[in-house]
Amino acid sequence: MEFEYARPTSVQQACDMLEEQKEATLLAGGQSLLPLLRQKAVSYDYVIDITQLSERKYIRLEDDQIRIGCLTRHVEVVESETVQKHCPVLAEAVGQIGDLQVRNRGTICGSLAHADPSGDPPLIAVLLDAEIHTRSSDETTTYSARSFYSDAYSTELDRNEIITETRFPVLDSDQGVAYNKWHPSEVAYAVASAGVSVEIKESYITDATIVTGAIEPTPKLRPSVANQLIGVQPTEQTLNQAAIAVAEYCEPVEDFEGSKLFKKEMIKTLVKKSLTEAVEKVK
Amino acid sequence: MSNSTATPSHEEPSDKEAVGRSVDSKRGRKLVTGNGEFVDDISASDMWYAKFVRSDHAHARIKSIDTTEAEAMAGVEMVWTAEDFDPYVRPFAHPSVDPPDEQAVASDRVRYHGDEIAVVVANDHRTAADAVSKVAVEYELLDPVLTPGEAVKPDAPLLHPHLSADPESEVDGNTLGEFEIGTGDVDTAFAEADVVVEDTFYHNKTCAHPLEPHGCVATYNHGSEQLTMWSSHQAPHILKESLAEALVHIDKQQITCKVPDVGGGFGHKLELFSHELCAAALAYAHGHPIKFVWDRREEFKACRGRNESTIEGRLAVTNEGDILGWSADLVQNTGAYGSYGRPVAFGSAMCSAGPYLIPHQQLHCEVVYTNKMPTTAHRGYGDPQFALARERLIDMAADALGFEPTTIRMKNMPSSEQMPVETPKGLRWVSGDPKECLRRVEERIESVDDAYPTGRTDVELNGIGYAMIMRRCGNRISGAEKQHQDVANLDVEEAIVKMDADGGVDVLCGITSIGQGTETGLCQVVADVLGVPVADVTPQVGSTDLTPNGMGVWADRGMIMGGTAAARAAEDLKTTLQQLAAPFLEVDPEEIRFANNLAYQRGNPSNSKPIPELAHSATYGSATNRPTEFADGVSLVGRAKFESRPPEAALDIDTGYGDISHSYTFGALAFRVAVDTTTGEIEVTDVAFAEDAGTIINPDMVEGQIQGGIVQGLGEALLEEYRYDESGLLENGSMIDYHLPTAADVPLVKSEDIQEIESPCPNSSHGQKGVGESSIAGTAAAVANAVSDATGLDANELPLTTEKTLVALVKNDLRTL
Amino acid sequence: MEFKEMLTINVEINGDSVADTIPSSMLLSTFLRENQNLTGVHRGCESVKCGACTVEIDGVVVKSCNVLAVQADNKAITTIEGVGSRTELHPIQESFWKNNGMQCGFCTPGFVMTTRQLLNENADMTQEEIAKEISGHICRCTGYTKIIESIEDAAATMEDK
Repeated sequence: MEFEYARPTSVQQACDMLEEQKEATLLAGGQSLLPLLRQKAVSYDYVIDITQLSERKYIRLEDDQIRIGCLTRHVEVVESETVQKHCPVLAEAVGQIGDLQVRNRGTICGSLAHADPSGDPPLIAVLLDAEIHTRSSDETTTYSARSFYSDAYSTELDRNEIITETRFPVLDSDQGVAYNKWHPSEVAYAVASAGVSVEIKESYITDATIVTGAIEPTPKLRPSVANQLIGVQPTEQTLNQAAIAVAEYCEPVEDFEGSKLFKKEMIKTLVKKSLTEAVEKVK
Repeated sequence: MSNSTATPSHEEPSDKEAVGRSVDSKRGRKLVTGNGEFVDDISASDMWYAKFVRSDHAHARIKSIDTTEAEAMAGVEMVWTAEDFDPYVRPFAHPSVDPPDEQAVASDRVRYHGDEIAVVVANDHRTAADAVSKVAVEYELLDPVLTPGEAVKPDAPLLHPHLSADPESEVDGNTLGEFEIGTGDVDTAFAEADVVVEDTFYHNKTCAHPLEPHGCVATYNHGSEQLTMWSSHQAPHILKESLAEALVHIDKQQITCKVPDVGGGFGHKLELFSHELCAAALAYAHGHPIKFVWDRREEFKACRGRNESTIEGRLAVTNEGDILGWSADLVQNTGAYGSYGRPVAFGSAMCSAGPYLIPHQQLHCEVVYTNKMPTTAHRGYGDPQFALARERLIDMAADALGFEPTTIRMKNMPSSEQMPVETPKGLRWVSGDPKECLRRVEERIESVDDAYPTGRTDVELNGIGYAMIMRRCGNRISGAEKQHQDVANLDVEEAIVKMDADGGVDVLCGITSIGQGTETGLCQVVADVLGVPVADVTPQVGSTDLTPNGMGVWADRGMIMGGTAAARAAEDLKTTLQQLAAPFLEVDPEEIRFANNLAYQRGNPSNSKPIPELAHSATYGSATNRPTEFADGVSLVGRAKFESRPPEAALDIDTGYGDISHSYTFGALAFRVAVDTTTGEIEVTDVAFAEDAGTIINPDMVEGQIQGGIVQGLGEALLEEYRYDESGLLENGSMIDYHLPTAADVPLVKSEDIQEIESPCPNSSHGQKGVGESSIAGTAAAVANAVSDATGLDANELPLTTEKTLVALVKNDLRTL
Repeated sequence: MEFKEMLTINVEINGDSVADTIPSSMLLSTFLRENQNLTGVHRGCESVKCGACTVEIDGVVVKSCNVLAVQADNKAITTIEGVGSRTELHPIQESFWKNNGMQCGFCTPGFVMTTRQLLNENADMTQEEIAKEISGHICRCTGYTKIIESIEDAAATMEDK
């Protein structure tokens, strides 16, 4: 790989460079980008290293949202007391990314932009409908995670946009959220994953979201199944039914990690597990 | 070096100070400080860097290779193809073991995805790597054959048509070799048996992936006409021999092979590889040092590994649980080149009955070429495949008869009191206690109290599984020899032990240090024989110019062959020291013993002289103080060669009857698994291992070998498999997609889970036998038995992935949600 | 600000200040091994899995094959060569050696680096926790048990001191 490199020190400078050099790519933690460059899966003539942008490394609680600056590393999200208190599922999910060394270096915003179908942060973002804030030379934009992912490794971002911040909601006290994935070994990519959020009031489900991941090119909401849970009491039977129904909606991509049948069965289990855990958390 | 001058005492010192102790690795301090010298760490001025252009197809004719763009790049010296190498090299194979079916680089066709086509040579490794993609190869695609079934069809495209057409060659079509061996009368045995169990078993295609990639640095000195080859290799003398045969202009006397620190081998660095041959040829042709190191992507394509095998197996048993007959049809998918294919099949078929005395046996083996990565002497050497079939069938027979799995095994193995035993196939087991091994693992695994070890009570199926292993320790039989053969000189190693003027000792031996610790073990045996501190003994290994001829490390042979040679060389030196000490102690030489760095009178240890002083006097002392036979000088050099014992029964190649190894090690494994019925995940919750490998020289290192072997075995049993698409392209060729186990994927195998029985072997210096492969050879079989015990379903196809298991649970109504 | 193909970087490596002009695309592992002769940094894969290239940057361990050398500008790096001194082993190194936590030694520098960070942050891990924390490393020889025991032993030794 060969490229020309620059290291801007402000977001404005970075945006201007991106505007000038539209074929450039952004480099933050590099944990997803560098392997692709090395394997020549992608190639860029220009790399803009944003790791020196000032004041982009933060986790703040503001207006019922956890706001995470774009240079915040995974390890910082995992260890943040703010995140552990107000959105623990995010800390749990990010804690399962890769390995210690990768988490020390990779950034959560970078992971959201990379849009790996197996990625942990994209699924959580879709599940909780995180906000993705971006800047370009002359514009700021806010995306909703649920409409952010269009295909594998593909998002709504324009070429000249930089993610500056992502915002996750503070969870309600009657909200339980759980995330589970299956991977063939500890550091392998997820082959199937599921995230669930439920709101329970007086032992009835009043709101539910179910997302599956890794089996298809993007995380996918399962609204028809989730909506069927509203007004229902969470029992072994109702949760089983929901899990089975989700599996029926899925269209997993078959590959050497698993057949369609296997992935559907695993999704069933992961959804059931996540539902059970999410319900438990509300209690 | 220490200056130990132990106070003479009245107590007779022990002569077992080092053997049996967990002495620290002689290489350890170097490696833990990051000062290891691996082949890629070697640099030389004017060094050039070489990289392969590798095939993008599984089977194709090469129409053209256009090197112009690559050669035009700045920093690229040349791109060589078969035509360029031709004047310098010959076709090659492991000497006397495999058919000569390999070339330096492919001349007219490629036979697997990753086959070597050309070599780029550049001034730095990045340029070389970049230039590879600029070499344009035009292929005419041929149909690949990926399974033996496809490969043996009458109209199948042939991988080695010239060998198949050659009447001198055993190759027939795509069958590299076919043979049948056995003993007794299986037809009658199966006809008369009370119960016959049979099934088909499949072992997956895997690779041990030593963490350090293959690599070498070759230099040729045109003045001295000497080739020096530094290579990450397990057997420098074998490498030297192979290079001499394959290089046109260079004889054996002109070659020195040196092994630096090696980052793992596991049998994957035990033959001549193309990069070594090409580096040697390029160094000779151009006079520059050539560094040729692979990367991991190449390793995935071309590292070689274990062959995938299908075994149709049958066992004939009586109602009393006696195993009368064992018959197996092995079809071995050996990949695109021979590379240990036949020896693996033959050696493992010879030992396929394990530690059981089965009177009637028939093994029919077919070794077949396909367009997949070649295979090699992967640790286990064919035993894991037969163990899977045999141990599963024994469990099935036990089930059919209502016997416990351990009871039926006990019934069919000899007890240690019966040793020596000549088995129905002519192997001679001189010592060992396989029953005690099984007893110990049964006791250990049953002593684990938790019924639901993972605590997930109603979504877990638990099971226990056993496997027994009998391992040959070092051998050279390839099964390719046409004539009946006396198997004396089957295995051999030689050692030199020399002492300097201060009593410091060097042990020179042709074994190599690849992480397993043999070099340290050698020092331990020498230290005890000479009575010197083990800290004062230094190993000098892995270098053909420095050490006597040797055979390197593989087949668990290091300590039994190298260790015994070293001990005997030390005995030889000790004789000289006794004669030297006699006038000082004023006793006969036979009365002199050595321990604690002292030479002392037997029975009167206060009459002693420090060994360093003896050594000093040998070098500097006046001749008048020496025995007359040393008047002209004292050589403080001991030497010995150790050959494997003559066989009781000479091997008959045609029937496979005979003794093929210097000694045999027994091992027992037990695993406890928990199968999660919601996911199909298999968790190994407990492990028990017991082995009789004779005297254990270094307990910690042997434990390390066992722990490592078990984890490699678990990876193969549960996680790993080479996947090719239907055009023969490797689909999962990286550490992302091929799942090697991490620490979080496997259980700990603790010291208390491992037991050594230590029935001494009478045919080695300290009673040691071979160590290193029993663990890996039996792991998959025992795990399969455990999974089958847990689920009640067959577990006959490896790997036992979560996918296979979940789907099987679903189909059999065992799945829970 | 300009894009550049060659950059001059200033790095502190094992306590020494180093300046070098390098291609922007050079990996940190290549820079350390080839420009700085720190061959204790090993290359075992190209997919960021094996961990043999692990070094420490500003107190945390990273896989140096997955960092650009130019990103180390103005940072402090420690490699295995900077652990312990020329004459004294670090307790972690002593422990790996004495407990046979290594065999071929190729993966060992990486494990030692990660162990340093782990024991700096939490000397009180269970074996299961240790296993998870070191899952960014592959070892083919040991089966990991003696590695975990070496880490535990080092933790105990360092706590005593």
